[in-house]
Amino acid sequence: MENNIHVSKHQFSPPGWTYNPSAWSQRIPLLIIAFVGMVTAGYLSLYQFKIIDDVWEPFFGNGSRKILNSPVSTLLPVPDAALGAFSYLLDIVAGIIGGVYRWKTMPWIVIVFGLFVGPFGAISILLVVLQPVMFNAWCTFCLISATCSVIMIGPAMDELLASLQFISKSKRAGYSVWKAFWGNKDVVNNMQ
Amino acid sequence: MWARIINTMIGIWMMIAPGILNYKKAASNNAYITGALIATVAVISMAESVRDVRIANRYLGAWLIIAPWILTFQTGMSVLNDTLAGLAVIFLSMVKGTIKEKFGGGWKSVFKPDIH
Repeated sequence: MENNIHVSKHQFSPPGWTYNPSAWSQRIPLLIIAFVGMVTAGYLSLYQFKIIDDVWEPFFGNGSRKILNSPVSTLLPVPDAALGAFSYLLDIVAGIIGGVYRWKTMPWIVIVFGLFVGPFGAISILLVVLQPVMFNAWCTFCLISATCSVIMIGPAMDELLASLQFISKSKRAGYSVWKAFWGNKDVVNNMQ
Repeated sequence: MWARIINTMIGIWMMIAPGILNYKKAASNNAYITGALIATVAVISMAESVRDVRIANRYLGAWLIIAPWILTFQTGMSVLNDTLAGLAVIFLSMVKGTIKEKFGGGWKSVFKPDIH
């Protein structure tokens, strides 16, 4: 009995792994952080879109206003906080799609998720670092949003590793990388 | 874990320190950027699957120590603070901590050459 529970818990883990990185227990915390990031960035974008007149800044006085109106934040046609909120939305979508076996059945979505969380996280950090250097100001909610991005990177990488291992193993077994990437049934059913 | 937590706090401290210790402009900019990178590396490497990312902090810590001499902003407090922080970051980045989970062949196995 106990053995059965053990097996059912681990049947979806990648070979040689002690847990399944695609399990919901692994993914839900990331989804929650991405949601917090999306709400935070969304709030800041309301100010940048001039839908709200002012932005709450508990610590740094005029800092948030200075940064949210800076030349960097208005460099693109869309305010940078709106882009941030959108990229968190992409994180959420890419985090939700697929079942507990997706590291193997849908490597493409796991890799897309890894790219969203990794490079977008890096861009957030870059923007935070640019704030004090260029404008001599800090912005509380920008920092919270960037923190969400940074926190997500590490925990998202294990699933990416599992999918990359699967593709690499499939390739060494003679299957095409393209087919493995899209979770082709032949590859999925024949690979361990 | 504690080594990553302390390095995160040192990274954040480097972003606060310029305001408290009256850093000059070049020293401040260096501390903001390096501090943010150190905290980022420390937080990412809390995850067991990418624990080796902590090694990047060895180089960021070394940069903190040599930067005052390269960027020539030798004013007492900033040099002292940067040097001590750099040494601590290097030391703590060497602490691997416990790894409870197993990850198949790890990242190395992904880039293994094509030998059957």
